[in-house]
Amino acid sequence: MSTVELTESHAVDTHVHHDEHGHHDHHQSFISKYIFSTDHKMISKQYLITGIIMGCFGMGMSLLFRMQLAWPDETFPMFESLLGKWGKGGKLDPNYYMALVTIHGTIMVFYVLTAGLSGTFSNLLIPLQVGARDMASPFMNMLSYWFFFLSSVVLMSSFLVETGPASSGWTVYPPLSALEKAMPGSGLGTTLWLSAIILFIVSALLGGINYIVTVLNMRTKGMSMNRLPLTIWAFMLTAILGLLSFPVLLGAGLLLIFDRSFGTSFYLSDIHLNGVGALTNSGGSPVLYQHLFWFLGHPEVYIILMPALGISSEVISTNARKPIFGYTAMIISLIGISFLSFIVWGHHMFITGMNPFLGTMFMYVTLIIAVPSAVKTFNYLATLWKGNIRFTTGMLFAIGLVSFFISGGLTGIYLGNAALDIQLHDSYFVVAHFHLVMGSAAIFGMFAGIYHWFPKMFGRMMNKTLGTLHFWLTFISGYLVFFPMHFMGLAGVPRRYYQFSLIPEFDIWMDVNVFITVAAFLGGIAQLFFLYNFFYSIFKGKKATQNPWESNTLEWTTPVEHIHGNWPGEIPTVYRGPHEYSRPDRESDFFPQNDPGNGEPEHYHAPAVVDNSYSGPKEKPSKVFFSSFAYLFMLKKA
Amino acid sequence: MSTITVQPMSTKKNIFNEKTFITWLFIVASSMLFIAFTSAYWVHKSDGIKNNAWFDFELPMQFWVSTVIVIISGIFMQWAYNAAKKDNVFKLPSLITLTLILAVSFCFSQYFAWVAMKNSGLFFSNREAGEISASFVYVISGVHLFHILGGIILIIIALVKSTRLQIHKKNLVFINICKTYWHFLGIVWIFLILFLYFAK
Amino acid sequence: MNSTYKQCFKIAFFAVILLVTVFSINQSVDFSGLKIDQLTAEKPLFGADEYQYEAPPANPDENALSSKVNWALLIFSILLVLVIANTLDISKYIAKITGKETTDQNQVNRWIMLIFMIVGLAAVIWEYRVHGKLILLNNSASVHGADYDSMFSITLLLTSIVFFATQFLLFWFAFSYSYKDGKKALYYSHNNKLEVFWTIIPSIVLTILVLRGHQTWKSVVYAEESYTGKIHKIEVFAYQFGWKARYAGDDGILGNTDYKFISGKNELGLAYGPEVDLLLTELQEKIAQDEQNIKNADMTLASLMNDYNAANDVKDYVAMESVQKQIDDVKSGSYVDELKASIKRKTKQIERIKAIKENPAIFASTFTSAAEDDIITQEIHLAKDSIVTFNFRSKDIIHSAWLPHFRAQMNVVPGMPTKFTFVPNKSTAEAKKEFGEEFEYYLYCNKICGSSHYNMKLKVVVESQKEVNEWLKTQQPAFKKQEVVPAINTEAPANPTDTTQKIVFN
Repeated sequence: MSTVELTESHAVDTHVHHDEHGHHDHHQSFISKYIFSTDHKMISKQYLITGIIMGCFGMGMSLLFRMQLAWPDETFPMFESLLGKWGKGGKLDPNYYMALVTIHGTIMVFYVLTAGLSGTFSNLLIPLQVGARDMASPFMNMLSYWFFFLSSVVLMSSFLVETGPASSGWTVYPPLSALEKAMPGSGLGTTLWLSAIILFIVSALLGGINYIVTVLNMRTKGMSMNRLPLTIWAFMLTAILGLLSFPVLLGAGLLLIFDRSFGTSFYLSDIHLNGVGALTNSGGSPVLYQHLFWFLGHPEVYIILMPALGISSEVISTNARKPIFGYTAMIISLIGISFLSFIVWGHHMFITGMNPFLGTMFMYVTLIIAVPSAVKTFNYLATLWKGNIRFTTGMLFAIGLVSFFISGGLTGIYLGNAALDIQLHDSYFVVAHFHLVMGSAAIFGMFAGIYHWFPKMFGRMMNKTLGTLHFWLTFISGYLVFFPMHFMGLAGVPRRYYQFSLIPEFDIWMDVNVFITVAAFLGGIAQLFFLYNFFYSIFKGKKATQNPWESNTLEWTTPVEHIHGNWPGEIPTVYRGPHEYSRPDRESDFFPQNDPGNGEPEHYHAPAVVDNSYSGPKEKPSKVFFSSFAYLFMLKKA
Repeated sequence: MSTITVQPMSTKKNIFNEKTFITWLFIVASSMLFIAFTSAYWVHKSDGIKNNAWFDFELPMQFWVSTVIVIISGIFMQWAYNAAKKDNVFKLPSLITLTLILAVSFCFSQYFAWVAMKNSGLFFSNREAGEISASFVYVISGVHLFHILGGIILIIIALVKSTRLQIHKKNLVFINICKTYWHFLGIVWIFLILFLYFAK
Repeated sequence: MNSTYKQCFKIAFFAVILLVTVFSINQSVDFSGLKIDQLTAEKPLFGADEYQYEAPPANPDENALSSKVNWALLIFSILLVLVIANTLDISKYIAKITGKETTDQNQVNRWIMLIFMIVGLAAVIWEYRVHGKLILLNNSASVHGADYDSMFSITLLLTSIVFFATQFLLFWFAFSYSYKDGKKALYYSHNNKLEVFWTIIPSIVLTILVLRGHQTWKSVVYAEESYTGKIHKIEVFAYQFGWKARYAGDDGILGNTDYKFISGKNELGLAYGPEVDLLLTELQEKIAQDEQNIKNADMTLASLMNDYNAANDVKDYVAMESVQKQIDDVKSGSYVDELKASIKRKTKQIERIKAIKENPAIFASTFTSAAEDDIITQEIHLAKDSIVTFNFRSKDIIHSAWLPHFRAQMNVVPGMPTKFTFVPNKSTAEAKKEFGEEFEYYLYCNKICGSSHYNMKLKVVVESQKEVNEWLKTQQPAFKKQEVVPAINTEAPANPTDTTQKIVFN
């Protein structure tokens, strides 16, 4: 066995001094390098930047409708200049309010937190962390991105449509979404929405299949499943969830398309529409759509959240300089969550007129799913305990994620309970719940990932001060925006209302609405720091070293400059799990996976320090027994 | 100073070739699509029967013809695969061609089944007439036919490859994918037709 | 020794925080629902003893307290941000002067973590105390609502404790175990006992909650079967954008309905022969008109062109745009297509109605006389302590009927009947005493349904049975003429009071 030794600093030197273009890629044209690239690192950058751009749209929309909610009686000339006829006289059109809410939800759920988060980091980290040269099928991977890109363009193009974009909520429940005459947005806008989602599903499936194959089939020597970083476990289970649930959404979407454009009535029955009259459709069931939709919809929540949890596990372990507490328990929790997520979809439908017995069943499984989530939370806390925590920006966001995950997760216990859901369904309480647990927590996972792996992606460091500022502003504004919403919901304020001024009972929440909007703007401003930091650092950031966070995982053994095939020589072999930090039997506080070490065991077991054997004079048992009485009655002196 | 130790490439063999694995995962995904449709049909039907709103009809004969065709084509496909495995490369193109012809005739048979349904008043759309039960049969068989079209493309590529002698004992990956996918489609169709026939 | 003191201090600190928290929750949210006497009459109603509901004053400036507090909170957070920013800035200057990196970001973040924890948890307690008083808890207006509220209180108490404990630990750990040079973290990768412990504890807690939830859920959804006594059925009808209620009328039976019978005068689609006949002729007329329009498509185009030119002369661009759109429709043929589709739709509707009318068995079972005297109202009046079942029906799309004060909600789905049964036990008059003179019960729409979703509500009044009957007398039956049609049920009312009892509900 021949071994070639290559010191770390040497590896850094050779690659830092390369010119900007990196001569490994000289033979590639601009198009094949930056546009139709099949390199997983470039595709991950494409995903990330598209995701960030979509995120800006999504956030901008939320600010617009927050303005409407805070000051329903004011006029904003800005609306007219931005939205044209939908903001005539500076007043936001109620239909367009719905459209903004719908597209905000769609963008955030699918385009930012599914593609932008899982697409970016699965692509970047799976080959790098399992030790593969690239994805199983780089071509499919490229197709996956371009389907996603096309899908984004189709979705955004619905803003150019005269009747406006889809506006029946991100769940696009028929009949509202199926009937053009019920709402202007249900015309061409919804057709585009459905086309965009079908393209998105194709993209997600192409990507997901690739991720699973790469993880299961292309691991490097020594990388057994129990040495995989938790990120990879999370990405793989996410891909499996997507593989099983996205086709069902495709089915639901196809049937909706047929209902809309080809006159079938899968979801339509007994409808008499204003201005149209009685429709001929009969025999369909709107609830069928809801079942199909939520069969995707609930796993989708975990498709969003699990990569964020995986990323935070890795970031927390690295920066707390401690092994992640309960690695196996974390994996079992992830698997448990994945499995259970397929049989809990009915908790979105407790009061749709579904059979109450089914409601009971869904309530039981829903509350079971809280257990693995709780285990994960406690494990994060145990990982932080007695750590040596470095507050890198990534770490800050990971801690923020845990905080949001707790706050949002606990309210899930209310909503998963069928009895409590009767009152809370579709109230502001729900809005607060999912924005904390799925929106904020997942976006914090994404930020943690961006700050942590930025050196890997772009070879440069992001500014730490700006990052800290970005974190605290976002974190504070996140709580300021969503925490008061719980109380609004509990006081009976319904969700998706264009304004509350027509209902005197809700006047008392007017100030809170203003407050939330101002806090949301604070959050929006915070993102400007991020955008500046991100794009500035891509070009002008401080040059990164090879392993800036002193991390164990394999991606930090690749050179700083990206090369095709990831490792210049052979792919490193793996000798142990990814979280061996601060081992007492090692001098440095980290122990890279590819470091063979000096014969240390794979897991460190502390030697028994308590010696509980008796070391005094010894006697026969019979003598000990009898003499004990002598001692007791003081016949003998001790 | 920590060191990076580079060792020789592992010679570990995976159970699945990557491309075969991808095919299997695709099969899982599209099975979910069919499961979605069939369970939707099932739920709809049981609800419809409960509310006396379900229209039952006999499946057209042509669907059964399709079933026979798909079974025979499956046999040819397997035969072709076995021939490739035994390095009978000169037998291969004819067998693949026969599979292809059967695959195309399957499409026609499905088309004629739709025509027969339409002629007996079972329209896809129920703007004028037609029932959801019929719409479901159209959708399910249509989505299956869409998959078949993909299969036909695979078979055509296999045919081209076989005439160029690119499929042989040592290069079975493509024909294996082709075979796996085609058998999947056959099994799905048999499942669907039995489901539509027996689901009560 | 030193570390032991430290440990003690930490634990004491933690315990004090927890105690303060629990105490504050207890102070701010009324947990009286947890007590056994929840169903007895004189329970302290939500916040009634400490907090008087004030109707929002006409001038928003006078509603100063909460607004001031909100702004104070906002200013506070901005100040906090400024402090952070300045700290970071100062450190940069110091670094410049001294020529080396002096501030440790770890130190900065470490302290912000602690400050955030203290301020944040205090803010949460403040929220519990201020906004917690506005939530609907222990003031339900229905019998099952009390059960619901006590269930909510338990969940709130348990989750609040977990919330404060875990958030405290998270930030406390972040604060106390931040990076120190030369320190090595504790290598502690797993502990099976601990893991089993914190798997089992949540499981037990959740089991308690889920069992309790199961009970409550069962009592709500199977209420119709479990209550003994007369059930008053009221139909609640939803449409874009409003609600209508239908009472059974004199005969005590809700008449049949069909969405195909809906017409301008028969908004709820009642099965009432004369109206349906009128609808048939109306549909036929419309078909004839549509056919005429198809024939005259060219003339329509010509007149539209004239309109366009006229608008062009005065440069009325808005009019020009709308006329241009119509011209495009006619030219592209979508105008004619739409008319054709409309004819098909109406022909189909006529066919289907005739199919009902021509089949004697179906005709007889559909067109009973029950629908004639049904009373359609714009408000719902319920008798206190009576068992009410709302039968929901939607005209067009999915709506959701939410009565927050009654802790009741159910979706209204076209083509699928749904219902909700409950017993209102607090009259509007009583509620007004509690919430202020302007208070009314409302039924809101809670499922996105279009542009006026936000303004889709129905007033609900709870009063005595007598008052309900009197109110119903003032409402007109849907179709019935003045002469009395013999009631279907043969039980003749024995005395006037019985009559009123009979008339009102089914």
